[in-house]
Amino acid sequence: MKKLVTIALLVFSLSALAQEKIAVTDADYSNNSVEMADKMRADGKIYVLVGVIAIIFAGISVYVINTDRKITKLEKNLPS
Amino acid sequence: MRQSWWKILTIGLLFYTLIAGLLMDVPRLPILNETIRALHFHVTMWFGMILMLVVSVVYSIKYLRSNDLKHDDMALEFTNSAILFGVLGIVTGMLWAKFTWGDYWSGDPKQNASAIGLLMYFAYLILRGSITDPQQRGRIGAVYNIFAFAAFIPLIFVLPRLTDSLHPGNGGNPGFNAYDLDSKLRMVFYPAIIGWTLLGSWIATVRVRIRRVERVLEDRMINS
Repeated sequence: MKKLVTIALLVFSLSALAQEKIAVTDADYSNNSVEMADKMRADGKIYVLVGVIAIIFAGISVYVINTDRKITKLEKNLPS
Repeated sequence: MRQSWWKILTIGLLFYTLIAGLLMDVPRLPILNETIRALHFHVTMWFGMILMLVVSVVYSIKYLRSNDLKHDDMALEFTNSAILFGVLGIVTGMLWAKFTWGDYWSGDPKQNASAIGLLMYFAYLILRGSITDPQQRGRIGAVYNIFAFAAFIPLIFVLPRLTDSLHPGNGGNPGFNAYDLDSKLRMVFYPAIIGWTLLGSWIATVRVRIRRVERVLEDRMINS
């Protein structure tokens, strides 16, 4: 029981410590004073960028999958 | 593709990371602005590096216990992937620092420590390259790898926290900064860590399999 109380107190004090950091609040999501890429979104261009990055990653994925397939084929042809 | 389920998971997680990481709502914070999204790309490189180095150390220990070169291959290739992630981490960090801290390199304790850490791992590769006997290379490499990891962890996690650092969570502050703990960021951050780590592991295992095929071919050349 004493142990449990100690652990509980420790947990509370640790979270209390965490409160002292700069917390991110809802206001941080809704403020308009900090400049973000809103214009990019308004023009719809951000989705173009996301598309470009997704295509690049798709290309890399296909390349890695092909390399994986190639080595699988080699392993199969290699009687050990 | 061998054991394809986790490879499909890797690609899925990384597509989620890229798309959600770029499009989801993030806290609007001064100085950081949209670069806060680098959390899913720069920070995850280091998490991936550490996780793969842990795997590498485990295989180094396994090698020392068994003298089986298969374990040495795993240790080496996981370190190779980890080094790749570390280099990407330091370069992306420099770019991010230029636009938020004002300079590519500010001599920040964590920047310096991670550079030293990377040099230690470059030395690992040079050390291995200088020994021709595979068993000797494996043993010396494994011992070096274990010690390098034991030095790397305090170097990047403990020492920067004992002094003032620009990195969040440093300067006597033990945990993550609130930026990392924000629940919306975490929804992408944690899957991103898993995704990037799995991608590194995938590359490592493919290279291990190449090494094993090479070894079989070499043995056949010697025997024939």
